[in-house]
Amino acid sequence: MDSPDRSESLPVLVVGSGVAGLTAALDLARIGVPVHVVEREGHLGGQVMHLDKLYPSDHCAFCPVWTEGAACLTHPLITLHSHTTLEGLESADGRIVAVLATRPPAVSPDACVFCGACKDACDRKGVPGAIRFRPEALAWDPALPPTPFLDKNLCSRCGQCASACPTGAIDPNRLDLPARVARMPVADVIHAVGFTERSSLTVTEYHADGHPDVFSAMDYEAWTAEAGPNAGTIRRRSNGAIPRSVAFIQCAGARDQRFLGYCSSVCCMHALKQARWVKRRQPAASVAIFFTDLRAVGKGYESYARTAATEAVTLVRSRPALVFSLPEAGGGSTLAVRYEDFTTGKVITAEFDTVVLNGGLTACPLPGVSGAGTGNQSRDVGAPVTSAGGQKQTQDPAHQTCGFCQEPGDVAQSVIQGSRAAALVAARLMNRAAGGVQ
Amino acid sequence: MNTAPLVIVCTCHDTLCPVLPERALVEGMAVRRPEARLKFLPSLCRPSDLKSLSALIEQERPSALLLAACSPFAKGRNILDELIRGECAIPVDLIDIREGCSFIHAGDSDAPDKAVDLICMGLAGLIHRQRSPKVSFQPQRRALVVGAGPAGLAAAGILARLGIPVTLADRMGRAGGLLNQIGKLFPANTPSRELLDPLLQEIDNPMVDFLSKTSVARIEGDPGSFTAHLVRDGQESIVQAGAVILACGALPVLPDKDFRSGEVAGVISQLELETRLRKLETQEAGTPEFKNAVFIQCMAARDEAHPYCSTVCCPTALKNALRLKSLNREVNVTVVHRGIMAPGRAMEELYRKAMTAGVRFVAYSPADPPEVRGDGKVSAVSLKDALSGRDTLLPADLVVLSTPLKPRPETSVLTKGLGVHLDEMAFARGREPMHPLATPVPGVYLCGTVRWPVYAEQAVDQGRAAGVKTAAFLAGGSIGDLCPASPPGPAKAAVRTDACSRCGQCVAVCPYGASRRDEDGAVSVSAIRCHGCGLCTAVCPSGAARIPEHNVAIREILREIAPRIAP
Amino acid sequence: MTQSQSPAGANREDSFNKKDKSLSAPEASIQGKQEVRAAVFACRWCALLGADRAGRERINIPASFRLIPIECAASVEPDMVLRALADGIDGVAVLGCHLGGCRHNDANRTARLRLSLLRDMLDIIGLDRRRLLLSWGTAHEGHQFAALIRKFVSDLAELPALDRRLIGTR
Repeated sequence: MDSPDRSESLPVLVVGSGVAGLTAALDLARIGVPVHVVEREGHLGGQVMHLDKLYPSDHCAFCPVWTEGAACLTHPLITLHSHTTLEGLESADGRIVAVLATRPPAVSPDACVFCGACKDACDRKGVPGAIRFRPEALAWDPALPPTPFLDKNLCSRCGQCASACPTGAIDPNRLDLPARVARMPVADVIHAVGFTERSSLTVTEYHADGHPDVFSAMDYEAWTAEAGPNAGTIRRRSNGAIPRSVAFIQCAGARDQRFLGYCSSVCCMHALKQARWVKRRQPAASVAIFFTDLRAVGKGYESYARTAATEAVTLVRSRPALVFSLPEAGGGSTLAVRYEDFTTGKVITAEFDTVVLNGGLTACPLPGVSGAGTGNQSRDVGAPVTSAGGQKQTQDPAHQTCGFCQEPGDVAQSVIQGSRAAALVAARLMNRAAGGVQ
Repeated sequence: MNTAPLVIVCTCHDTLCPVLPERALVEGMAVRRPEARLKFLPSLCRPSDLKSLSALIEQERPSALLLAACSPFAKGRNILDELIRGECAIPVDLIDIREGCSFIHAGDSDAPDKAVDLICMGLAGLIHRQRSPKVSFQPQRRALVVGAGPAGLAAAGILARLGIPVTLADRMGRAGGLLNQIGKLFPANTPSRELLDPLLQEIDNPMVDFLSKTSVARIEGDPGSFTAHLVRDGQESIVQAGAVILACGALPVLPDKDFRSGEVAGVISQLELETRLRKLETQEAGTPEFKNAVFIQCMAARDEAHPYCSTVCCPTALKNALRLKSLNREVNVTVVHRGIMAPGRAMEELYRKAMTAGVRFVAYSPADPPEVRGDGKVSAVSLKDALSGRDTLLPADLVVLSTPLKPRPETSVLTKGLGVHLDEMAFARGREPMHPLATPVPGVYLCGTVRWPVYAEQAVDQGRAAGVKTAAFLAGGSIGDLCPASPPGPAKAAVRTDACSRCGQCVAVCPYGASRRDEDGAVSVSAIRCHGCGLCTAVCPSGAARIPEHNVAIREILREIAPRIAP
Repeated sequence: MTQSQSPAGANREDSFNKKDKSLSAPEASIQGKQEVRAAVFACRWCALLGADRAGRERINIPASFRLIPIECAASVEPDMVLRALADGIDGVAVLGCHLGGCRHNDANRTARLRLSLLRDMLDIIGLDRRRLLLSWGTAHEGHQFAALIRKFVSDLAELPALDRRLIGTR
């Protein structure tokens, strides 16, 4: 029954729409393979959309991504499932069936005309602040439906927004609806689920009892972002003051057998970038990076690091032992970093207004892939798809992984991985179509 | 057909009115453009609105249609696309009076005035904007892959599997590139044949025309139809290809008096060690003839003259240190480094493995580089430990210099002919960071060490990636991907030969190599290469270089902004 | 329109009717204007997004600028800028991509070189360099765009009015 052309016309499922997933989807679609993209959030772009700038060009992060996102949205062979997660993979009649769970968004992106009437109504008569133009810490992307964002926890479900909306696009009651589960046969799966920042704050010696001026790297990116709460001004989180000094601590929770044994690969450059931007926006602030090995490996990265060093960013080869809070004159508290100066062998305690912990990025788990725990996955997952009866199926089709969930890497590496996954999946589909069914 | 243009104002469910009252717009337009008709619709973006819009066009039969609605990033672009897709026969354009006026000038009495200006600017653009001729693009369905190292092999292999004919050319007699000099690969110490053999099998395919001992002298032409001049045994031949993948690799830097190599015996390069290790490993119970090996990292790298990290040297040193250790645990191996560049999961594990196996790591700072001691034969390496600050003397009977990769000088000949640029280090420049393997010239892709030093496995990945990009290009779809055009379509520069003074300024500035001169000095523009950035029109002293969509229209638009003397 | 307008703004009254605040909007729009007029060339890859975001976030900006989307800042001819000034437009802003982030292979660096030279020339020929605003990648956020325009418009208001008797002689 299963003709080759039928299996050929089945779509490839791309899980995640970060830079790796977007690239894989576009590459496949451009050579004529239909693609379905599953995205957990309401926007495309993944973690890059949470970044302010990209190294080594210091380019705005959203900019290169939004054109890809727009191309993805308008490509006739790409279907996007936003607010959707992959719950599992099943097997039926020798085919893979993806189980997708969709939570309908409170604001329908098709109907919304972005007039802002809901926000006005909500601020006036509802819960001020429950509707925002973009989720916090997100470099909002004009290529994607820029619908207002309704905060599930703040919203009182009063319905003022719904009556104000001229097109009936918003319904706060949808926030409480259960997810719709759908099953879809797919030809193959590309996992591009990306990473989460395993909170560096779990490194107890660094978190200074939850001091507000201790940030994780992604938090700090959002805090200092041009699109962030301070519109690009560098401030302390505790009191809003301009910090006199900022310390970046590398390998916090990574290259550490207690936490993650591996190197997250992107953090050294990330810290250098943030340090340069702190320096650029607040030239008076002194900036130090505490590193183990400064791994600036990649095209143009060494030059970037060298420039940072000339911009009076202090590079200290040392792994601090402790970060603790110090009472400040006039109330409040600042932070102290205790570390060993290797050249003298002395233990030094230096005062910093802000401490940023870098490191500890973990791959997201792959749904529906048995035996896939946390951490990075092998390239060909070769997923034994669990069938309804619980038997293991064969290796074909072997799902691909790409992006950070396969190997820690930055944008340039992830997009190459995405294209690579697309290439192999396409070749396999081609082979199957040509070879036919024996 | 009515000769007057029609302006349709979307009141966005009457949310526009508080700032831009209809009456104000009507009266403003009556003064400025009495001939233009103004219609107000409550919405343009619902599926049903397109129908009423078409009905309105049918009824009014205007000469041109201007939509005054929301920003193209909101719904505007969609509406415009729908109209163009619906084969709206008249010129149509969109101006943004919501995000661009009513939203930002609330409570400002000048807002209606500005909206009228914006509409007039839109009309001026609509009337005076000419169209570039349509470019037909039919690429030749063949790819040329330059270089048969791991990246080039992988690229050719994937293209063949995707059904695209490939010409794969390599200077050497045998495929494999730099990997032929390397026995085992980090991180898992797998023999390099294990990586190469499946790739060689893939290119054993009727789709692949593998030309060994063939160098590519130069490549000319435009995307879709490149002409490559190949030389084999002094004989020149020509290959036509729609796309080109540059996988021509990099050169290992060999020590040239660095760290007294050549002056004292026992100072060798990492590549030389590779060869020796291969011999030692194949001998039965091969024992190294040395007791103390010292690896020096960052030779001719990460300094003023070579401000880049060559990526592969640290993992290579780790791998070879472990190989030495596994040959004979008694050999002392010390890696003298400036930070071990072992990013990611597998490389960090390799680093840890080396430490556990007893490889010693000593950091140095570039200010105090290590010195090789010994007369005639190396005896020790002295350095200042960057971590402890202590002077250290490491006994050594073998010093291994980690050799970086450097760009091949002949690459620049190819990139120049193609219109591809090189970076500061003279590696080929891609469109970082989202399209690292694509170049500004559509149909020209990079993979492997020609772009930047990479691990062998990553070179294969890049080959795959470049292959699929090439396939997409040859499918004809991605000529516009480089720079998605704004409606109504791609703008292309053109040079009016009667006005051209042949000064060549446009040729010099064109970022895409689209403007060019023939033997007589006459300038022409390749429409396939041109992306309509307009740089040539801005530098042209005689107004000969023009973009039909741009130049006249902008001038007329500016005129609409200029203040008018009160009547 | 703004009350904070500098004395220089008042000088314009001799050549233009002072706008009567009591006039209704349409009438006012027909009357001559004494406000600053600025043409803003916005690269569609960067500053246009900033302008759009300013709109989305409803940031209030003086209404005296007119936005012209262009493909790339590099397409702005010096001639076009001079012509705009000759037409009586008080100032021209060219907002391009971040240097190093140009969609057209660093075309904006070339544009910067050329237009910076033009700024110097504006000083030399007696116009003011402040009439040409160049900005690279600092207008991609709504608040940045609004701040740039506010500053530019208020700078222009401080400059003496262009001699608009020349208008119409082109």
